[in-house]
Amino acid sequence: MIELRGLTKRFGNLVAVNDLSFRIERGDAFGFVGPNGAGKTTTIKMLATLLSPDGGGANVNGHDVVKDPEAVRACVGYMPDFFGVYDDMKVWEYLDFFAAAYRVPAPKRPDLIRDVLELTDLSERSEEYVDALSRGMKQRLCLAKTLVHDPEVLLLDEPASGLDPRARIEIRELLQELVKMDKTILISSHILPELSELCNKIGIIEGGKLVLAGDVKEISAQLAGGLRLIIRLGNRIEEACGFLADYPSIASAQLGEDGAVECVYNGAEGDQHSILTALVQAGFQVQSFSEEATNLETLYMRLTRGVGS
Amino acid sequence: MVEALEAGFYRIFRFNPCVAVHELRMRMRGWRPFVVLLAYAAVASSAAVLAWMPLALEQHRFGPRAMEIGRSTFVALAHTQLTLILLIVPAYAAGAVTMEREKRTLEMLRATLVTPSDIVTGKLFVILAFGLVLLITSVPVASWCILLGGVAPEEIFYVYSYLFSVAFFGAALGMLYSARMRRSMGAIVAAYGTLITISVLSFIIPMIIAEALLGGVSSNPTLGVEVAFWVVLAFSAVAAWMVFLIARAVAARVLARGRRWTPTGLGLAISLGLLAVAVLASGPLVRAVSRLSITAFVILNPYAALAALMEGDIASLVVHGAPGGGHAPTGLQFELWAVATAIFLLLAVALWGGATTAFSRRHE
Repeated sequence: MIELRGLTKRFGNLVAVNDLSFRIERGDAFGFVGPNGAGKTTTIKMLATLLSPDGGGANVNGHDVVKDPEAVRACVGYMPDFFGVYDDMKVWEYLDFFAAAYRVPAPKRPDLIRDVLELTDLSERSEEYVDALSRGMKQRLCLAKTLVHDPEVLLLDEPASGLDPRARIEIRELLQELVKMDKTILISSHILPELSELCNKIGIIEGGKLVLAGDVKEISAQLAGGLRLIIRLGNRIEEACGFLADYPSIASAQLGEDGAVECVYNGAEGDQHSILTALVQAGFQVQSFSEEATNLETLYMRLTRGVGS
Repeated sequence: MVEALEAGFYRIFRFNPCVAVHELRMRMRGWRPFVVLLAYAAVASSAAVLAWMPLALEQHRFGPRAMEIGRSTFVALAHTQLTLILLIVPAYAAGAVTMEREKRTLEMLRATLVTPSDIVTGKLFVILAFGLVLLITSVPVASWCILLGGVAPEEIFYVYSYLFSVAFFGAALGMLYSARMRRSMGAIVAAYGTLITISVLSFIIPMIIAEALLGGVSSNPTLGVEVAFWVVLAFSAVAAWMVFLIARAVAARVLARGRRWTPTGLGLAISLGLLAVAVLASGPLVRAVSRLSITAFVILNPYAALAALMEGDIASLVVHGAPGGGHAPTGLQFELWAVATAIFLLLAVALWGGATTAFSRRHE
């Protein structure tokens, strides 16, 4: 369980984290979203006891991050956004070192290391040198290191950043395994769709302040209400605009600069195909039909606008 | 075996040796340590051979002088080793923590249960162990000096244990800068800069004092008593200030955690007190202070202290404030060894504590 109570951190005049309060229950997977410089990493570092808060407080598994940092560290696995690896060190030695750093008794270490290597699909690589691993494997190794003392709480700062699509999918599958293991997870990311597959709760932070926090399903429903569709047509484009604007589940339709029709869809999730069917039946030549890519910026802008209004 | 040692260390000293084990793996792996050891042994042996060769050729012409040859060879070996130790050990130590910062591995380590003391001490011990291995590689050359004659076995012990204390000092100094600074290059430059400053000042100051006040190394003093008096006074004030800073750090750690003292006021009071004592002091006291200053400064100079251990001239200068001659007498040699080694060990321990405190403060 993680509890933040008015957590605040300042760097000189800059308030990096401003009066942040939320609660993550045991077994929750909490997605922490926000643009660069929003305060995600600072918050995670305070929870990992690497930074001292300037105001408020936080508890991890009932231990205060300021008063009892050792107890917090013992139950937390922390994976930073950027990390280095030691040269001239084998994979198993790397994990053994971190297990020893967490004071895991020596006789227990070989089994634990074998388990985490298996979980992260690195068993075959245990005798290889760490610096010879690919970026994706290093990321998995870092996750293995995070798990080596079997922590109840995981603080994962951008665990899939800078990875290629395959490595990203592998990390996502691994994180899904961890969710199933009933660990309390706080995971920060820029990619909301990825988090929505992993997390049951989500929080959005901007300028150090929590903009929105809640259940993923509720926020997804909110998002689905404003989905943008891009439709390219081979004929009667102007007419199609009018047709779409009158369509019941479309809030608005307009002609884009590139000649595509841009619609705001507020119908049920997964029912977008009905629009395509209607267009085809009405004799429009549909060349492409797609949803606008929902990057963090667009989603974030829409969400904050929603909160503000 | 390693597991049992690890558990024992933690149970007895509350010290987690995982950083030390990790450093040992990293530092002793690959070709680099082998190259450093080989280079060290080659340079030390070459210095000994270069010192031995002309004397041996001379002996061939002018008759047996084995004892002198053995001694000169050993002196050259010892001074070369001191230079190598002062070059290698502080540089290794200065990069110990900063490298972790540069490689971005320190944050993950800090998030574990290892303490600043585990990190600093673990790294320091491994560097010290490497320094010890470097010294051991030259033992066969030192043994050869015994065979040549003119060097007693206990003298080898004195010199090697002294060199070890200097290595400890150099490692702790490097570690202090490593814990305080962000970049390895900055820490290495600062460590070398400090060593050069200590070496130069501790060489020049006693020479000035000896020359001006005590008849010095030449028979005619070149500086007036007044000038030397103020030199002594100024450096006594600086020494008093340093002692105060160390005492304050110790007191703040042991007695008054978190309580802030006013260093400026107290330091100024100590310095003014010393000034008053010096102004009021008569000639004999000034001479006694001067002698003490010479001893302190010479012993603080790693080269001068090593020379004093092995050569009578400098030993007499240190103890009597005037040059003597010949080899250092056995009794005097023991005293000099004990004082010089103890001073470097004490300084090393103070710097080690300082490095741990600096690391903790930097990451508070």
